[in-house]
Amino acid sequence: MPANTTFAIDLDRCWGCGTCEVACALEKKSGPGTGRIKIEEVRGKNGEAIPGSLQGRGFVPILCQQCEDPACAAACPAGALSRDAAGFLAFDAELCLSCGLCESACPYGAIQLAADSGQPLRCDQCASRQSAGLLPACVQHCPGKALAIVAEGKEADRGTESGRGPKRAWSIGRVDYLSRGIGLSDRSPG
Amino acid sequence: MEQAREKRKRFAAQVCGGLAGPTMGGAEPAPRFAAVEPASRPAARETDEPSASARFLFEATRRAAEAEGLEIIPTCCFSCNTACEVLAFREKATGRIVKIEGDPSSPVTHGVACAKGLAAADLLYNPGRIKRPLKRIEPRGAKPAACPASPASPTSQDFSGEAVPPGWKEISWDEALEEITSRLLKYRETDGAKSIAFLEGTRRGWSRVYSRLANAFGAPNHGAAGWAQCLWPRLVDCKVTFGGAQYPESCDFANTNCVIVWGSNPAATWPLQGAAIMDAAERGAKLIVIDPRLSETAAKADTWLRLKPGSDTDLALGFLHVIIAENLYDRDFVENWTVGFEELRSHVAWRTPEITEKLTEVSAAAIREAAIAFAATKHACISRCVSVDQTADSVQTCRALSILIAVTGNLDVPGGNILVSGRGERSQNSHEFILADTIPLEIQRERCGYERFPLLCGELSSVPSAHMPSLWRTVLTGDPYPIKAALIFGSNAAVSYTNTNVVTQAMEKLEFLAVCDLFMTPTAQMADIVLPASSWLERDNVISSFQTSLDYSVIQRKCSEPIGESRSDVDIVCELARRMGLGDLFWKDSEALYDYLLAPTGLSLRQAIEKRRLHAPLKYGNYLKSGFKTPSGKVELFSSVLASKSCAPLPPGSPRPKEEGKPEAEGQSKEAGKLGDAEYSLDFSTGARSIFFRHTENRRNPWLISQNPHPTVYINTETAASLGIAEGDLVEVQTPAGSARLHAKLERDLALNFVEAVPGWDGEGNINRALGWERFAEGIGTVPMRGLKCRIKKVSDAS
Repeated sequence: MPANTTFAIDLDRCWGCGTCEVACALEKKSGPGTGRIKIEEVRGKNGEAIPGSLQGRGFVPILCQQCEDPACAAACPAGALSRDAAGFLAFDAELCLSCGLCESACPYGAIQLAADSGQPLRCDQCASRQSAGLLPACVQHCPGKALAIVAEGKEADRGTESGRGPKRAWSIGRVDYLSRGIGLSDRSPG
Repeated sequence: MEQAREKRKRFAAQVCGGLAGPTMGGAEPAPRFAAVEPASRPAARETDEPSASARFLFEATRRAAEAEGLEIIPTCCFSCNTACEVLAFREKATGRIVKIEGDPSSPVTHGVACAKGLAAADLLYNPGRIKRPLKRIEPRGAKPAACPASPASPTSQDFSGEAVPPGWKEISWDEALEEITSRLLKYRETDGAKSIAFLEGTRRGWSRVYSRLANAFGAPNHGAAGWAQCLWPRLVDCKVTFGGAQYPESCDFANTNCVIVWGSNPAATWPLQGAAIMDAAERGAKLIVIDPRLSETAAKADTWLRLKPGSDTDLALGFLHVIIAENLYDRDFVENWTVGFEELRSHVAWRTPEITEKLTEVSAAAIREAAIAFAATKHACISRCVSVDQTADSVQTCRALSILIAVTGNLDVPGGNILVSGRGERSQNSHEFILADTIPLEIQRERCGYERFPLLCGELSSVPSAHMPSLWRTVLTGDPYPIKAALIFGSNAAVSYTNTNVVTQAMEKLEFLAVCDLFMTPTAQMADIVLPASSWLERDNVISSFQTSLDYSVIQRKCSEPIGESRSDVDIVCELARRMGLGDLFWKDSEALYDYLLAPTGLSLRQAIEKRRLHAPLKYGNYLKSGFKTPSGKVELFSSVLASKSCAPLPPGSPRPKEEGKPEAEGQSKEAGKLGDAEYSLDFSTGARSIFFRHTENRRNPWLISQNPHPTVYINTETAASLGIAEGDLVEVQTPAGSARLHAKLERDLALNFVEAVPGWDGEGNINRALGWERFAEGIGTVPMRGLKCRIKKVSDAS
């Protein structure tokens, strides 16, 4: 997988349809309901605007954030999870004890244990597809075009042709969440 | 599991907080900010040829497939009418379709596909597929015992593996078709063709050849569960207002500066259109969404108008009042191209925003603002879909929107509502193709509902057809004549009709029922003969639809050998026609039909398959050349045609449930009949949809049912609280006509005292069980599914 890419999620374009969840489960052949990307719905208090929705109904796709200091790797007693040279979370199935500590450790609920093997199911940004020159299954199929793989430093590629001004990004790892920052003007900090 | 869900919820809130303000949600790891400049993206607007990057992605896909021993079959999906171009991946060694993906080289979809299409290989390998023609060996009414239940619902019967369903035996195609033919010919001889109902369902791409069979056979009682509730009201509107040109059905989103999405939720029901709308909104176009629920589409809106369910026509007329009062109408267009403007002006004169607020529960200020935004923005469009077909005044709701489009000068201009014409191929959607005039007028007059519903049963209808509630009543009562047999292709009638209990009683009363479908649906289980149909992956097709694209027709290519002995519906219809002595009016097989349809383009089906799609550039201002094929030659704001059919020439306004007369349905129990209307005090619609299903389809698909395992009913949070209903509770929705049980989904933003159910489930979750036939829309006989009344109870309290 290219070392210099970021997974970008444009909240302004996600309407929570769940296509990414199904595309992932099918691509990974891990059974119905096992998509490694999952969408959570967020409501603005009293209907106020939130990123992605002026009307206060937003959707946030959640997947492995590829943390700089991954809690799952720290928790793994067998060293099956680690950060590779390119900065992505790597997994060695041979070492995995199926203990489930990684799932408990992930602060973002982005690891699910396989029903059969008990091993972690987590997003690898479709490394095999990307090395074949393809987009991750969720990125290609997202009807709203909310998902993208972009080269770092090329933020421009993530944007959309927008008459509504620039977007900003927020990230804790190698997944960037984007939005026009709806509500910036009318929300007080804290 | 639950813990992971909680963590995701917390993180989602953190992401939103992080994006909303620098000091919010900052307790966790330090966020990295970057202002992202806007940049261009491939426009959603279709171009003639795939871009270089699209071709590159397609080639990469092909190479990756090759490496895995797979070959790629380009085709288009028919999991819904959008017909997105997709790639089927076929294992070379076995011929098995292992996956389906969007086609990155498609100039229409740019590679996207929704969950329904991605998971569609299950259509081939689902163990429930019917593989050979079946004949009932147990008496009708006797339910087969001991069948494993499908995950969808405990009442749904499913059959696995090669086993023949209990109570049935496999027979040859020859025997099955011979029995159907001989039975139908015998009924025609003894009781007349009117004694046989030719029924169908949602188009699987073949339906007009089925209509042709019905008409060639001479059967006036042809119809579908949808039609009067789906698309036909819009098309009747197009006919009477614009002379048949379907201007309002397509929008030029690529060039628009304002979109009103009227009652539909394309994010869930028409993702490609949803994306086009979002592209427009991202570009800066104003997005106004009208819906009683904060739908996924409404969530993206600049303005969301939460109207009272079923008050659409009132709201549209209120808009017209503002637009005329503020002189924001297009004077040139109105003067040169319309008739009836002065009648319209006086018709809406009393409908001030303040009065409209009382009728629609949308604030007067919001009405004024939205109407002005729509009329003052050049150019603007209205996106409408099935919701406007399902009001209590269906055609008139559609008319009100067409009038809005016309008087604001948004007809067939860049950014407005536009006309999509064909790509040169013959259309199946013509009275000529379906041989509508073959049936003598005196026979047509015997069609169920003919006198009362001329817009559905007569020449103004896309397919002149029976009024289905009238037909089912005739089946039950034998009045005015017996209907003894039915042939049902691709319709899960026992689930998809309103007033389910009455319809299933009627179906049980039929002497002979033959059903053609993929699965042993509740409908197929009632049949005497079941024919196995093939899915879209097993056949070719030529798909020309405004629902697919503004400027392409797409070609579907067979990807798999038929499962078992299943056959394409078109082939079955052609073979039935031959056996009925109608062979000279039909084709040898489906390929011959598509060759015929494509002939004017100079292409055979085989050539078209290689070419994959036909293109014709969009043209604006078509009416400047051709005018309007209405009696006046202009857009008829005041409809002379409707007046001639004793229908209101201007939309009178949304009918109020309480103004309706005595219920005329026989579907009510005696107990329910005693209850006063006041008890049914909640507003009720069956308008919500899930992206994972189309109508009654896909509930057997494990990849999709796992995403949405239960029937859903949306309930306003406060309303639910007052009734002790919590999220996920099983709730009984009750009306005088019946009841259904669905799982509560609480919605804070739903209109107050509003209950909205998702239809399409079988068994006790089927909301159609709660929809009666108390009233029908004027002229067309639509069974209203918006603006109804119900009451709800938590199931533990229900009985």
